[in-house]
Amino acid sequence: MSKSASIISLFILSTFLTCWSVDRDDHTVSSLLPYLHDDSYAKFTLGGVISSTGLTQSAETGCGKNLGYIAAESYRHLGGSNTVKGYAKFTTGKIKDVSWNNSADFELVSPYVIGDPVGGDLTERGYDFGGAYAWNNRKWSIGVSAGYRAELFYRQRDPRDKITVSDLNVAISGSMRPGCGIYAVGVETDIRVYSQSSQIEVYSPTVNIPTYAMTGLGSWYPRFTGNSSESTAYSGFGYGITLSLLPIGEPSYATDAYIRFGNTDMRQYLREINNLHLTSLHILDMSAGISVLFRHHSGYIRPAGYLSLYNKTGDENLLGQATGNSYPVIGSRENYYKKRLNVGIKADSKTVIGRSSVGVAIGAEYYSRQERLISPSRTVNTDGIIPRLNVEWSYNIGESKCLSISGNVLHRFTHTGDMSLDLGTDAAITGSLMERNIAVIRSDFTTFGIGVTYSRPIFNGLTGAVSGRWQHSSYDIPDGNVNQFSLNITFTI
Amino acid sequence: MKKSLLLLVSAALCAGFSSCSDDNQPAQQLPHEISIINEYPEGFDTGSATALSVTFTELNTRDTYTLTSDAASESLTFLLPTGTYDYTGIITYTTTLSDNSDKTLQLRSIGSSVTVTGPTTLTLDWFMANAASDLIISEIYAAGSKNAAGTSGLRDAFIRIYNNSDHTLYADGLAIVESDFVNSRSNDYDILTPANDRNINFTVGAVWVIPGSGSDVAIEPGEYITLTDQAIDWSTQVEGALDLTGANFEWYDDVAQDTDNPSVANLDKWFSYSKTVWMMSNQCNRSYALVKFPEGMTVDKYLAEYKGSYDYLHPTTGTQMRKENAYLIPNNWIIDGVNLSNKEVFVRGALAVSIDASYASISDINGDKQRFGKKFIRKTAAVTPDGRKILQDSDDSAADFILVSANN
Repeated sequence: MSKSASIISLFILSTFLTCWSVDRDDHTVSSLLPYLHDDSYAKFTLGGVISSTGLTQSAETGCGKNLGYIAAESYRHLGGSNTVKGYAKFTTGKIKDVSWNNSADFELVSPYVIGDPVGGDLTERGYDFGGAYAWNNRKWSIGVSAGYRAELFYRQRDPRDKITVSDLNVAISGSMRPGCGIYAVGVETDIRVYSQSSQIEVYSPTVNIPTYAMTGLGSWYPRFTGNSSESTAYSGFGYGITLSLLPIGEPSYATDAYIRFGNTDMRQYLREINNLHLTSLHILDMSAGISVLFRHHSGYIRPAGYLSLYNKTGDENLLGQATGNSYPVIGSRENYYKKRLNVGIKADSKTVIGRSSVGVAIGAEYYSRQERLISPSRTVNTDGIIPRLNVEWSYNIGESKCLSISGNVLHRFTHTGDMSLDLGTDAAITGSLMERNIAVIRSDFTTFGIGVTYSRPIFNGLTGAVSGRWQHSSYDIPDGNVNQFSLNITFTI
Repeated sequence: MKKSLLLLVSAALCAGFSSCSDDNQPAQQLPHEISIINEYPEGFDTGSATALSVTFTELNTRDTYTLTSDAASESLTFLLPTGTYDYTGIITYTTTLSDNSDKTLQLRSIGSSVTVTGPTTLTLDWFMANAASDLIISEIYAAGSKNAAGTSGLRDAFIRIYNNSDHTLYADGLAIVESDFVNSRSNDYDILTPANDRNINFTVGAVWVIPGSGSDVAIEPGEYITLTDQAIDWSTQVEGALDLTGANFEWYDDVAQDTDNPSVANLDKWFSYSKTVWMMSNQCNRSYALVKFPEGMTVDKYLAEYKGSYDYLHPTTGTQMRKENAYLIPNNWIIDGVNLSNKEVFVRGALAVSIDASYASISDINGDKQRFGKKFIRKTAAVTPDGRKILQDSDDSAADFILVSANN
């Protein structure tokens, strides 16, 4: 590869990382692995993020985080017909001031969490690793991939949470190149096996911290409030199918596309009540994206569109009279649902002018969010539009040293739809929780940020890069400022 | 290839939007027929019932379902969805008192953890209750423990006020009063002053008020406060006597004959017929009531406006006499009342029959020395699922109270 081509590739890579385009690495099925990158690489990253989010996030997700991580990733063409990819990541740090949630992966298991109003910081240790292998000939390819995530969250003061997560994903896929042309199309099926265990302990005999088995929108199981449900667990199984279209090489006109359907069922158990099956969640998700890349002599322009749909329904089991520590399940009711739609269009371009490169990305997203509890009847519907603009300027200092400066701005225009939140007697318990969470959902906000990246060759094909980014958001609510700073040091070979 | 792409995206959009339609209604729980069999207290006349209401609360969901009827019957039917239910029932009925007046009373029924997964037969046990008295006199220990000589009672007497409701109530501002009239044969006066008619006013000889501004003395559901004469450990003086150092209030007369425990708050004395110390009737032959004064009542206003002096005919001499040292409590201020006596000499209660239709008896004979060490306690009518006792209050002390050892 020539030096100028290498610089353009680096520019394009940096744009990929910062301009929220269709992310090929995330959506490409494993059998298309051989076509994903022309060159093998290995990457080692040391990074961290510090954020303070005030009251702009739901209480269950906290008020920011201080996290550091080490990640390694390798992509290799082994010669002939074999390609492999592997990654490993260790994350450690703190999630600040989480309350009303004693579980991890809140987006996945909500609303069925055990919550307490006190909460506090959670220490996180996360291990994430996996790999993929693909074999291909000129027309066909097959691939397998697996990923495993293990996380531990804990708090060393009352209420003392201890949460462990085990999340395994396995996929198998096959692809073909119609007519051995410039496109490859692949299909992948995947399964997910998920488990989580969460314990709450209170050491101080003088502290009385109530716990609630939450059921959504400020409601809870009255039978499992107090100190009797201190240990909960989740067991989930999911499967999905992904179709992916990938251009091979660097044609002047190329289309990337994917579509994915997924289904996940999650069950919540109360460990201390004889593994009582309390609730179930059924999650259907679909996402699709397409981008069309037009290359020209000094860069490219790429319009894109994407869509994601998410549908979660929740069943509460009805329990009979306890015999000892066992409650018979006598029925169930579907009492909760949450729906989300995101659809957006965007276009990004990159133009190389001399030693500089200028990238611009504009886009707009429409989103709709519906959350409903059937009994007691509570509804929260919002929708809105988020226009965005990203710009990036990169300069080749010489000797393959590169400096990039990027900036972004977006604004969320929120519209409140049907809203019915009569908490009744629950107001005394979860009133402030719901007030905070609803304010976040209904708030307009503006986000802007700036980032700087400097990269340079170190020796023998090893490139080092340092990037820093600061992001600020301002919500129309009290204590509504978000500040986030991230720093990454990356070595690529 | 373009056609393939279009098909791919179209399929995604169609599938996505169809799943976004608002068709996600909950699976309805089919209702099941509940056959209710009512079991009433002995002698209850179902024809006297004017209203029946049973509220079922589903324990998992907190959904409530209420059955109402304008009459009681032996059986009823109702529909409930699958679930586990607690229930509370109230029957309002009318009874005719011995003075031929009508009084509205209540039966109640409570139950817990009734599982409904199909057609179910449910038996409701009804008991007598008086919903008006959320705060009630739950225990009376008037006789006191036997003194060291075995001749009389100690002053370890007490009265307990119990929260019979399901919500926090406040006792400050309430008064414990003792009747001026004695309920025994020797005091079978003909009262000549109309204002002292027991069906209008309760004539009292002692008025002790719980201090506070109205929200200082909270009593949680199922809890009680103890009012005593002297909040001391009587067991150090006489074996078997009570340790009352944990009492909430004591009535203290601030005279040399009385003893004050400074760590226990004193009741406010609004009035006492006694010029020295006031003691409960250890003969157990007077009446006691729990009183809620109207808003704005003060001790000065009360003493100025509710003087209860009365004229009466002496039962043996037939002479018209006058009693000056008494005050009046209008009957509608009384939230609970109990007549005490013994079976040998009881003639009538000082309280109106609408407040207490009978009396709680300390003994079959008058002057029984076996009365010492015995207290009156209310019967437990039911226990709620969370363990709270609901005490029986049918405004009929003979039925509501039992006699037990004071050490229980």
